[in-house]
Amino acid sequence: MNKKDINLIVIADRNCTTSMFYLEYLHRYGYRPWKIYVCNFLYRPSLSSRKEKLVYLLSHKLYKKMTGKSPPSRNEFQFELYDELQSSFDFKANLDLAAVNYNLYSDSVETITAWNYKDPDFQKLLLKDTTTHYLYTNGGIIPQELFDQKIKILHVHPGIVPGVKGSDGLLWSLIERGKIGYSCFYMNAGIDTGDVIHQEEFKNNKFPNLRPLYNNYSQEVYAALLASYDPHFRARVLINVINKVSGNLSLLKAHKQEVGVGREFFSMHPLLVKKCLLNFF
Amino acid sequence: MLIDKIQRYLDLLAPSENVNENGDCTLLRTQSFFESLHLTQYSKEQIKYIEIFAKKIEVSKKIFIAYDIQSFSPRDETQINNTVFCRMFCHLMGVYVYTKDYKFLNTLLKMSSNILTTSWYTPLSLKLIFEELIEDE
Repeated sequence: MNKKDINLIVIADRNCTTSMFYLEYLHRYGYRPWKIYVCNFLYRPSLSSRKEKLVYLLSHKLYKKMTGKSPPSRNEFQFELYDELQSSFDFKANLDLAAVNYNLYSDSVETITAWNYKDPDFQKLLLKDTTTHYLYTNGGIIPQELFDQKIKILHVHPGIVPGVKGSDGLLWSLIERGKIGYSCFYMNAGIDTGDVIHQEEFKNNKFPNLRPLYNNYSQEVYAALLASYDPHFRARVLINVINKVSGNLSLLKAHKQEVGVGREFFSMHPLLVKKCLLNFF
Repeated sequence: MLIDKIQRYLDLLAPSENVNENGDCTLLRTQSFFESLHLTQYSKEQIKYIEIFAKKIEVSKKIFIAYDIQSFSPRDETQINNTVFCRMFCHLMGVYVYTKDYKFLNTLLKMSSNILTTSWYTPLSLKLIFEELIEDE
């Protein structure tokens, strides 16, 4: 099948499964992003100085030197959960992120190590091209200075904005609207306040097989939902957006969100997460 | 009734010293605001303000003694004392019972987990009331 080149640069966080889903869906639906920045974001620990950054990098390198392999990130149990949670979709993505061949998805792949979006070198790289569309996958808050340069960054947020903004949108959507919803918008410096391109809601899938895990492994199940279930919907929504304009992203139309309307939610407490997970069994 | 228990707890809290409001209508004093509330009789505007306080807890984990009523930026960066914290906790429970909005329950759970600041804590008697509220869920 011939792939259609699209004017999109995917900012793929190499440690985030959502990146993998976007790329896999684009590939399966015949789209080839112009470029992929494979980003090794170091933002997770809140380190800021060069010294702290160095310690962080060295500890990873030391682990690799002493054991001959990368620090462990995912275990077999998680992979089994991913497998089960993907059972209702057309295909199962391989979430072994260390084994991803990015060249399969684009002709131009560049690997980058950046602190986060505030990293000046990373900003310089992104600002080299402000005519194209970028796709956000992860990496934290994007500072205003990038938007001042008219950069266009697409994001698929798990929640129908402005009603469901903020963290843990998958579960807050279930509480607020009884189903899961996604919004594709152009990011701005606010929290999920960008101009909306497309919104879609879906019926939630049930996983009765996982019910026995409920009492003791609710956090693991939730982490697996975020890693392997939610990204399927995000990627589907992205594909629907791209299909609407037949891959020509410059034709995308967006409308402003009403200011001061809607609700912003915050990270969910583990006890509330546990209660909400009942929606999945 | 849970609400009666919350009310009894509120009644036990020490009344505030007279605060000089200076007639400044652009100022919202946290303590005065929470003392003016009546359990189960919240107006829409009061709920809106309580939601803003909940947001402050979630985002900055700090509540100051006075805010600008329009921008809600702090006007005095002294943090509230534990009595005001407990009063706020009670009213968050009250609003949760009144609205059944999980957003308030989420904030309460975080406050109850004592993760906010070392200077605030949820006393045992208040924790017990909260546990009862959770059990009802």
